[in-house]
Amino acid sequence: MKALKYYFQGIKKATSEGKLVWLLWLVNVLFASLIYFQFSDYMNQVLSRSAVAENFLKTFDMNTFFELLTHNGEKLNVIVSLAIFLLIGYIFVSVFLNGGILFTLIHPRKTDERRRLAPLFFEGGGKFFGRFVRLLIYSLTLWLGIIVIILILNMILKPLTKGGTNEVLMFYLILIQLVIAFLLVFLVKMIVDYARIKIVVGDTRKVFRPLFQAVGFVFRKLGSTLAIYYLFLLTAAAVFVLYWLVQKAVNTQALLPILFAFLIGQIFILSRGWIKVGLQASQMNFFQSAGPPQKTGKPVPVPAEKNSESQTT
Amino acid sequence: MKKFLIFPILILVIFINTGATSPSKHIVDYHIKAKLLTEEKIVFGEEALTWLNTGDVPVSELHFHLYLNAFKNNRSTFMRESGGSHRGFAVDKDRWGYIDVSRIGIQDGADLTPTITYIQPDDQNPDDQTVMQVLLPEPLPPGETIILEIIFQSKLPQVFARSGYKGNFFMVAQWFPKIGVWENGAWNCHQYHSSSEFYADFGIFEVDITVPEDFVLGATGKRIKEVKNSDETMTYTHYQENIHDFAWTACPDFVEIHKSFTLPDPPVQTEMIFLIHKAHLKLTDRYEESLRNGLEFYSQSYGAYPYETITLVDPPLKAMGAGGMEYPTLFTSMGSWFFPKGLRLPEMVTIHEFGHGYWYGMVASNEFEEAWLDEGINSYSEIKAMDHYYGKDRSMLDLGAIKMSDLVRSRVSILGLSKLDPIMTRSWEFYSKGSYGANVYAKAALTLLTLERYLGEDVMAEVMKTYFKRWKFKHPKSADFFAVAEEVSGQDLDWFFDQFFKTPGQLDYSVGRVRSVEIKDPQGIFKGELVEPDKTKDSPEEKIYKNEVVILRKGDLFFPQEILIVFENGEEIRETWEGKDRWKRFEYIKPNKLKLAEIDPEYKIPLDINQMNNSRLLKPNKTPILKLALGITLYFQKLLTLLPF
Repeated sequence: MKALKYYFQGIKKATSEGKLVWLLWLVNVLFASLIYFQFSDYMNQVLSRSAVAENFLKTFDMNTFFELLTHNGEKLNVIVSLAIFLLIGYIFVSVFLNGGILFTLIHPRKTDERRRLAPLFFEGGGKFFGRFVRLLIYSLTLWLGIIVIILILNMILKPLTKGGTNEVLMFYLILIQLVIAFLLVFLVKMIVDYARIKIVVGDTRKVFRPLFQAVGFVFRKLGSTLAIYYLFLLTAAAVFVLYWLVQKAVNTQALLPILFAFLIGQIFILSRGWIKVGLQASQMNFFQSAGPPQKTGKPVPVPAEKNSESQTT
Repeated sequence: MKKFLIFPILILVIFINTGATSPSKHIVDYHIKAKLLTEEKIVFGEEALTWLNTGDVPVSELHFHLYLNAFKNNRSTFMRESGGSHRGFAVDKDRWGYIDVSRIGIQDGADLTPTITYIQPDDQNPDDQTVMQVLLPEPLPPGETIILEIIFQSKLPQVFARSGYKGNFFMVAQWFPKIGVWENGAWNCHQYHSSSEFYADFGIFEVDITVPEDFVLGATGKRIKEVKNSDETMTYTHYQENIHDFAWTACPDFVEIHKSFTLPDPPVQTEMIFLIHKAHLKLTDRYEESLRNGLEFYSQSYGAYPYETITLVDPPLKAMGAGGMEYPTLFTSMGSWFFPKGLRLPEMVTIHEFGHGYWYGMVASNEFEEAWLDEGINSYSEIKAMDHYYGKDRSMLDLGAIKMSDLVRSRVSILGLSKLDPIMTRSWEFYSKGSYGANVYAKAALTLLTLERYLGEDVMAEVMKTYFKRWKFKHPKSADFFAVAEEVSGQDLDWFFDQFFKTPGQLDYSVGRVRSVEIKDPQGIFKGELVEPDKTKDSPEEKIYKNEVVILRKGDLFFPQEILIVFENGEEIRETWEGKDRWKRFEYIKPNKLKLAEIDPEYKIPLDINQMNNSRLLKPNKTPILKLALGITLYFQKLLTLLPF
């Protein structure tokens, strides 16, 4: 039950790093607020004086939705373009965030002379940004690998449904391919996570080697790495179900319930950040306790919690 | 040929036995023997056709549809117009289809084969062989019949547009030489076009079909005989009167289910035959329910379903190109094991294609020249039936929070594509396939719904019943429908039909302006004296407002409008406007401000292409906007957290 131990350590760490979680939420909100203002402005222009807007309080009005697309689609295109631009931008911001999170986690502020989160976080983000961008580019080979595997799988499975008569089989084969694709995505994401940890822990400027070593590490410790990852995935799923049940119970036909539902949504977004920090903390602890001795870069400052754990176990 | 001599006797026997009435004039009388070679994808056929000249002048040449030649090469008119695809399915260029007439002659008379030529009455495309002409040795006088014997071979294409095969599934439609319609002293026999369906004369069909014995066969009409042959084949004989086409299907993977349908008023007794592909057995109940709904709705709304059978064919997923098509007493639906219950495509297609048994099957308008008469009227009927049985707000989609009615689905399809052609355009002359579909299906249906709401539901119901009764088993034109509508309603509707069917215009009214301005007391110099405002009148309840509403006609078409004006105190005023001018102002001097002005408050005019601008609030309603904007924001936030990088 090693994985459980690291899981709870991660949860504890994420809970104690409340400011970090709030910071992640803030960045998320900043990005999303651009969409809010644009969309709100657009809807105010085209719909706020129409009685049909009222329909949206009760249900999703498909008729008005398609009319919006037809008669005011150009303005909507601008918003969609902005959203795509923001998504791409957020990829790079999340690369920065990853550096900040890991750097913060590796410097427990209770024992470090740098007690304030922001300088530490931004130092880490900036310091590792270039390396993580390179890592992102190198990791594309792994993402491409997933596509190749799925294509091969598809070629192998396609003859089984030739003629299209067995639609049940076809459905389950598609489902199996989807599950495999997701498993592979999680695997690659996990490998990249450990590569980042290795770069931060070893403070190395090399990127390809840590990625390569992370592949070795993940497969060497496949049971534990997967267990940690899927425990957090399960937590995320449980939180989502809880969120879904709560928001479903809110009848959003008036101002206050609408604001309340949005507030619940923000708690959900916060929880995503909490889980992200928890996962990274958990993976870092596991890596530091199970990984090989560091050969590159500066010596690693050992977190106080980790230190005490290793003394007692 | 001797074998054909027994058919008239057989028909007489069947006629007496079934006691069937013969409401249509039997212009054609087909007796066909067909044999399917499943490996070669070929149907061998021998056809005996008795044709009656119902015109006023002698006929010296005969025109036939040879529709399978549309799939003969990439230069046929169908292939040129369609670009080799139909409803998203593409031609397989290694699997062409064609029909080869090896002999045509007059029974016990001249061989007409040497006179065969291919003609192209619509576009003079020399590569198109979908219309065959033969010359008679001497003209056939009016009122006389001619018996022709034809031997042909039909090579089926891999199905992508209605007819053909896929694997062991065969949809054999438009497969035999079918004579054109002789009317007004000329042949009406159009080429096979991409955006068009069919037109032919009523009569009798008796067809012997031989298929391997492990194949399940379905065909137009009633099965009157089946014989097991010595070569591991079966021969099935189907017979039907008062129809104008014959199609059949065969597949060993069909599961055949028979159910009976009875309706007391109007009296209907028919056998429902379901040929469900074994992969779709899960859909059987849905198909049955929707076919029952269709039979009930159309029988009660228009007239009793008169045939003894109705066959629903469910093609396999990979032969969907054959799906969603109507033939007399047989139609193909569309479904998949994947379809959730809330996605009502099988229901909609079943009701629509069954409905064509009325609007095409019995009321057989010319689909080449006035396709709206069957597609538009049938889409109108389908929307009403779907709304009636599956709920007005969810008849098409009912998937959790996502709901859509069949009416909205139709509105969506006219929003962008219906403004380039009039509804009354010949099928192959539309700007595009999209324009054809938007106009003859959706826009025509919504126009009829708009007419219904103008005339009243009862009057429109009477219009439709009368039109069906009067034109059953005949070939009506648009003018015939318009005449029935005017006769039944007692109104001159030329203004409506001329605009909505004969021009490409759109209907769009909007509330251009709403304004409430306080009327101030006189202030200033009047007749040389300074007048001060009455300061005792400052309380809000003593204020008077000039309320103004301006309605605009933004579209080309006009239609009478109802306008609802609501004031802040809840008072409502209803106005009417004939809608001909470009704008109309309404003014009210009231102690209350306006709250809302709304055109067509009961949503009676589905043809209005922009219902968002049909209303205007004096003060914007921010709450729904906030809900939408926060909702979108939250979705975007969730998306950001899901990025795997």
